Amino acid sequence: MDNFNDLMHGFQVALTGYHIMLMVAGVLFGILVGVLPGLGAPNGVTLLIPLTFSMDPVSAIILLASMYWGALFGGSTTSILFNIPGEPSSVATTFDGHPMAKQGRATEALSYAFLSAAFGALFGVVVITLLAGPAATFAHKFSSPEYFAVYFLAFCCFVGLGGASPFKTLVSAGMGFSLAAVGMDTISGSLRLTYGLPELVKGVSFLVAVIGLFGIGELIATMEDRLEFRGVRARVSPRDVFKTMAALPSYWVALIRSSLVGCWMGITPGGPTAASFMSYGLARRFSPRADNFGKGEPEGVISPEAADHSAGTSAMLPMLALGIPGSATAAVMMGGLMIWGLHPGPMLFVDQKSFVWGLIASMYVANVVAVLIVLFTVPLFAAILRIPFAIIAPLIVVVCFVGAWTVSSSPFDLWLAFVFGLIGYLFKKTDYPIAPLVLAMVIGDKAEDAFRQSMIIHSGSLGAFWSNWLCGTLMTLALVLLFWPLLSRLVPHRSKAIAGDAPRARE
Amino acid sequence: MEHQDLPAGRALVTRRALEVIVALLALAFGVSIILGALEYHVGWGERGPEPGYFPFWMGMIVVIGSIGALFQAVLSPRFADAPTAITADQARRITAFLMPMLGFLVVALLFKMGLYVGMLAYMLTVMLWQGRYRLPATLAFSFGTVIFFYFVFERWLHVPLLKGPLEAWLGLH
Amino acid sequence: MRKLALLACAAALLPASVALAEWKPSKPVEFVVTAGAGGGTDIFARAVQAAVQKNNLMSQPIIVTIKGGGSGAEGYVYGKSAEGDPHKLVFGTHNMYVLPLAAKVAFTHKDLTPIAAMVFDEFLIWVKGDSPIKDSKGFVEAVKAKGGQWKMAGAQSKDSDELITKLLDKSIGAKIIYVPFKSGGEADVQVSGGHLDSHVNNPAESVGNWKAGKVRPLCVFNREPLAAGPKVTETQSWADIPTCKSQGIGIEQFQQPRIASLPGKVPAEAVTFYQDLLRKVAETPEWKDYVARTAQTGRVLIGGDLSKFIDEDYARFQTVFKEQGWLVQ
Repeated sequence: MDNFNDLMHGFQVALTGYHIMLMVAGVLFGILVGVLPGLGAPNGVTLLIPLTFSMDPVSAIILLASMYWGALFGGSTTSILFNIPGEPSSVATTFDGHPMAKQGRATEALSYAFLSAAFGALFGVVVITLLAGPAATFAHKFSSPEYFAVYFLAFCCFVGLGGASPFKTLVSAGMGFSLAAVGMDTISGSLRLTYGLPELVKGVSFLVAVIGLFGIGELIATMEDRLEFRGVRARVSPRDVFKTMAALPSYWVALIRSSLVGCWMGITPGGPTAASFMSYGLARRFSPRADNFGKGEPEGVISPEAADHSAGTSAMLPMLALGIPGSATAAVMMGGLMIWGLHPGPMLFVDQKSFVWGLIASMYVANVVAVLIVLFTVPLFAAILRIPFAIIAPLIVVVCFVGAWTVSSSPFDLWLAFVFGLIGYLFKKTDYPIAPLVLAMVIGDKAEDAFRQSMIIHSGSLGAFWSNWLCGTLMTLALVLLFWPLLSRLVPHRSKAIAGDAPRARE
Repeated sequence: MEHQDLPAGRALVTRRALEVIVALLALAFGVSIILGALEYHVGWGERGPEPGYFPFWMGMIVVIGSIGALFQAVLSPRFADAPTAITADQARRITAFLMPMLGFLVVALLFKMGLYVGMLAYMLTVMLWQGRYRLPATLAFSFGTVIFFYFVFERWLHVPLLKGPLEAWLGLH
Repeated sequence: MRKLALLACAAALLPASVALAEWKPSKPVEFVVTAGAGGGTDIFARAVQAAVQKNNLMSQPIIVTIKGGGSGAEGYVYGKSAEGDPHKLVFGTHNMYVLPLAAKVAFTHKDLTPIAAMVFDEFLIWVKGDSPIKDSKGFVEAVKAKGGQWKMAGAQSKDSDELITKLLDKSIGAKIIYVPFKSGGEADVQVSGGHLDSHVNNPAESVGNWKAGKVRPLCVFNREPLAAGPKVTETQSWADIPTCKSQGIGIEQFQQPRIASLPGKVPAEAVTFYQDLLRKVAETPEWKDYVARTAQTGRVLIGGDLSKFIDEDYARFQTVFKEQGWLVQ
C-alpha cells in the first residue's frame, strides 16, 4: 500500500504540462535515434545530457527515460521494414518482422511490434511498482557464477542441439564468441586477437556487425533477383492497426511469457538484447505454430518485442536501487544521475522519493504517449516502402555506412561493415544461421568474464556453478533447454527440428 | 546493362561449390583465431582459464564446424543435384550493386574525401547508372540527401561525420 | 632525456602564455572520454563541460564523445591520430601513461600534450556494511586469518585497484586474491552483496551503498584525511575516515589524477588557451561542487608542475610493474 501512495505522489510529480512536454519531446527524439542504425539509445542519452544540466533531476530523468522508450520503439521500425535493426535489442524482431513486411503485411507487423512492446513496457513498470523492494534484494544475490548462469541460460534457450546442420551452428556461434574476445581482456588486462592492428584494440563492435550482416547482407540478397523489394507493396490502411489491436489478446500466452522473461533479464541483469533472443527462442520452442517461425509469424514479432521493452523498463530498478545498470542505456543514465548529484543505491528510495516515484510514474505515462505516437507513424513508415527501390536501396546503404561510422568514428568500422555484409549474404545463401553469431557477440565477452571470475573465486573448480540453489537451478534449466530437442525426441510424437536460426523452408 | 546475352538460369556457382567456398573461408577464420590465441597461454591455470583459453577453443569450434560442413558439402547427396546457387545474371547484378558501394568507401576513406563527398558520389552514380533517373532529379535528390544528413548529424545531433578537404575549403565543420 | 625535453618544452610554454596573442577555438571542441559512459572519467569531462557552458567560458559548443574501448586505449589512440588538432581535448586518468606499460597499445603518453591535472581521486578500503571488521587493524588480521583466501574485488586488471592489492599483499605479508570486474560499481555490488570480502573503490563509486550501510570504509590511502564536509551517514563524514598509513598499513599515498590533454604538436597559443580555460573552470562553483560531491581532492597542476608529476608517477608505476612482471614484452 505504501508503494501505491508513493506512486500517486509520483503521478503528481510526473503529470505536469512541462513534464508531459518533455516526454513527447523525448519520445520523438528517441524514435529518430532508434530508427538510425548505429546511433542507439545510449548515444541518445549522451547527446541529451548536456541539456539536462540546467534542469532539476526529476525533469532530467523523465526526458532521458522517455527518449529511451522512444528509441526502443523506433528500433523495431527499421528491423521490420528493411531488416536493419535500429537498436541492438531489435535484432530478434527482424526474424519474423521482415518476412511479414515482405509479404505486404508491414502495417500488421509494425502494429504487433508496437502494441506488444507497450504491453511489455507496462508489465515491466507494474513489476517495478509492486516489487521495488524484494526485486532489488534479489538482484543482490547475484555473483559471477549466477551471472554466467544467466547468460548460459539465455544462450541455451536460443540455440538448441538437433538442428539440420549442427556444424553450421557451431561455425556461427564460434565465430561470434571469437569476435567477442577481440580487444582488451578484463581479467588479464592483455590485448587479444588484435594482430597488431590498433583499430582492433577497442574490439569488434556488435553494432557494426549487425549493420553489415543484416542491413547490407539483406540488400545484396535482394539485389540478386530484381531491383525491388520482393513482394513489399504495403497496403496502408489505418484499419489494419485496429484489426491487429483486436487480434493481439489471442497471443496472451506469448505476451505474458515474454514479459516475464524480460523482467527477469532486466532485473538479474542480462540486458534487453539477450532477453529478446531468449524470448524468441522460447516462443519458437513452445509455440503451437513453431513451424511458421522465421516465415512471418506474428508471435515471432510479439515475443522479442514484449521481452525487449519489459527488460528495458525493469532494468531501471537495479540501476536505481543497487547501482547495477541492467542495460547499456541504464549505464549512461546512471552517469547522468551522478552528474545531477544523486547517488544510486538503496537510499535513493528513501531520500529521493519524488525523484524515484516521479520517474516510475512517468514510465507509465511516457510509454502510453510513446505507443500513441508510434502508432500514428505506422502508415507513414509503411509508406516509405512505396519509394522506388532504386532510390531507397542507395539510401539504405548510406544510412548503414553512416550508422557504422557513428558507432565509434572509426573508418575501419566501415570496411568491417562491408565485409560483414558479404558474410551475411554468403551465410544466407548457404543456410548458415546468423543469429547464434549475433547472440554470441552480445553475451560472449560478459559470459567469459563471469566464467573466469567464478573460477578465480572458486579456485578453478567447476563446482562453482552448482554451489547454491539459485545458480544450480539456472544451470540445470539451461542444460535441459539445450538438450530439449533430444529429450523431447524420447517422448513420442512431439519431435520438431530446431535449428539455431529461424527455420526456413527446406527443399 | 546488357541483360540479354546470357540465359538467366545459367549457373556460375553451384550450390556445392559455394558450400565448399564458405566452409573453407570459415576454416581460415578459425585457424587465424587459433593462431591469434596462441600469443597467450591457452591452458587451464590454477585459477581457471588463461587469457588464450577461450579464443583458442572458440577457434577450434569454428575449425571443427567448418571441417564438418566441408565434408557434408562434398559427401552429402543433398548438394549433388542441388539447384544453382548463383547464376551469372545474379552475379552481374550483385557486382553492379557492390562496385559503387566499394567506390563509396574508397572515395570516402582511401581518398580521404569524407563521408559526405562519398555519399554524394555514390548516390549520383547509382541513380544515374542503375536507376536511370534524369540528371536534374538525380542532382536534386543526391544533394538533398547530403544536406539532410549534414543538418541532422552535424547541426542537430552534434555527431560529426568524417569530413575531407572539400568541407574544410567550404569552411564547414 | 625525454624527461628533459618535456621540461624544456613546458618551460618554454610558461612565459609564452603572457606574450602570445589570443587563440580561440574556431569550431566545436570535442571532449574525448577515454572510459565507459557513466564512469568517473565521463563524469569528469561532463563536469568541465557543465562549468564551461554555465559560465560561458567558451564561445564554441562542446561535443562529448565516448571512446573507452580497450580500457581507454581507443580514446588515446584517437587523440594521437589527431596530431596538431587543437579542437580535441582528451580526458583521462593515469591510464594515459600506465596503459602502455602493460599492454601493447599504439600510443605512449608522449604522443599527447597534457594540459592540466584537475582533480585527484582517492582510494579507500571498503568491507561489507555488517562485517565485524571495524578498522584497518581488524582488516589486516582478517586477511591473515583467511590464509591466502581473502578476496578483493576491483575494476580492471593491471590497473590501480590490482596494484593497490599487490601493495597491500606486500605490506600485510599475506596473499590476497584479486578478482577483476569491468567497473568499480560492479565490484561494489559484489562486496555489498557479501560475495567477495573487500574492494578499494573511489568514494563516488561506493557512496550510495555507504549511505545505506551496505558497505563501510576502513581507511584512505592518503597522507591526510579527506576534506571536511557534511555528514554522509548519520555519524560520519568523509573526513572521519582515518588514513591507512596512520593505521599501520604501509602505503602512504595512492591517488588517481584526472588529466585533460590535447593531441601532440598543437600550437602553443592553443595550449595557453586551454590552460587558462581549465584554470577558470576550477574556480567555478559548479566545479567546486563536483569535487566536493565526489569527495575527490581538488588540486590543479599545470605546465611544469604537471610534467614533473607525470614523470614521477610514471617512474613509480614502472618500478612496481617491473616487480610484478607486468611490463609488456
